[in-house]
Amino acid sequence: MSSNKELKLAYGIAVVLLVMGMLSYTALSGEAPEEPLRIMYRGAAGGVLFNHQIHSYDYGFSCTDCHHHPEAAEEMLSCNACHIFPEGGELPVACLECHGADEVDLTGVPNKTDAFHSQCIGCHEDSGAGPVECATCHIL
Amino acid sequence: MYNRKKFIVSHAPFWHDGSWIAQRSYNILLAALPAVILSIYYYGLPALGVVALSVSSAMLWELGFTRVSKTADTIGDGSAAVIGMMFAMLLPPVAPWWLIVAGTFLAVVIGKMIYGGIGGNPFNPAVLAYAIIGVSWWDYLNFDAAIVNYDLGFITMFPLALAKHAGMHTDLFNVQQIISSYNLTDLLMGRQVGGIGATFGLGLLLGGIYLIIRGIIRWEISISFLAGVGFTALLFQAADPGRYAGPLFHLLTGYTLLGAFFLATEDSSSPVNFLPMLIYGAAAGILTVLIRNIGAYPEGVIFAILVVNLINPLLDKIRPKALGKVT
Repeated sequence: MSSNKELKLAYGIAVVLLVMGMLSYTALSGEAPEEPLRIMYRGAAGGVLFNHQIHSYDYGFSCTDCHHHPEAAEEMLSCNACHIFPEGGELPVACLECHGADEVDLTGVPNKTDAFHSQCIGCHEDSGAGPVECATCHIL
Repeated sequence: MYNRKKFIVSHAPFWHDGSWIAQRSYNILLAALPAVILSIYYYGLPALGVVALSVSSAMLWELGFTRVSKTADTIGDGSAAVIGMMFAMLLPPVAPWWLIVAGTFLAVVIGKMIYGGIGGNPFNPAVLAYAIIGVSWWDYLNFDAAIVNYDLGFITMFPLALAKHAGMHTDLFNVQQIISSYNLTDLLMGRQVGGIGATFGLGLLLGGIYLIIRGIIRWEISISFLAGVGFTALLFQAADPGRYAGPLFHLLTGYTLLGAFFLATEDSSSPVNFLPMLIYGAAAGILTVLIRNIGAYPEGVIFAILVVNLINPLLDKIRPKALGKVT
């Protein structure tokens, strides 16, 4: 193969793959499922791969067992929406979508880490099933 | 009458065997395809996007570099495409576009072109780029996190990470039980979590054997690498089977097969003589398992190959004895 032909072939491959790559990341990129299958929570003690699908279907929990606020809502708020407090003492955006700033008091509302620990370990202990030791959830 | 011409000796090279660099590159790409195609089958367009963007951006970085440096276009030799493919094979099936573009820049420009282009790079460019990306944006290279939206029907945790974690917490986990949950067929048929081009054991083996038969990679490096991994893993397992996985598990998970056939064998960064190749491959294999079992990372192939790339110039000094006698 002459070097000219090699170059033409390379240009062709580069252009076709570039278009294919760009389309995959834009027009053809799929939406994430409305209800997550698994969620990877990052933490200093190691990530926690939470299987949302097993908890919601196989174990038969209702959505509001975990997504406890508001109690009756069609769309569930994610845990992060309320339990991550913005820096500077501001209120989470999710709170202000329904409440006025003067109606919300976050005293006693746990931060994300405490909320998760309490929710997961508490439920596992209450039901006598599921891991409670740190390293059983927090994997490398 | 004998043919006198037979005794006329000219300068080396004596004969051109008809192969050219582009042919080698496209053969490597061909050998890599089975492993990549299976991942695209499992993960669909996102994985295809990663591969397509990685190969094309690697080629375009090289084209851009040659244009800026006013040198001849070299992307025709296919080396940039191979680097892009190798980089994609290391990545999780879902990865942000900017990570790929940054990675191929590091691989092609920092890993190869600044050393003078093909044949001048001291490290495997794709491995170097992955290491830099890995220490910079580790979270994006987490296989388990990348595929959270896939329901695959097999264990969706990176086997090496799970085995290492279990080995660190033997009070909570049984390592052998975890390892046995990944059966041999699954590992060979790509039913495991890992890099795009690293999970399909059988495909990688076939690709590797094809490259060896075609004379594109050297069997000495691949076999000694695999032997190094297997033997070291065997020693660890014999020492403490409650903590360490066995050789077969180490051979068929992570980047082992990809490393043995596609990464450690990269021309420029590996030795050329028989004994150096054996030492090089074995050292990479031994280091891989040392990093996996007693290092901080669950996977050791990347840093093991970078380290043996470093000792490559020293190994190249081990040469066959010259014929004749110097007086």
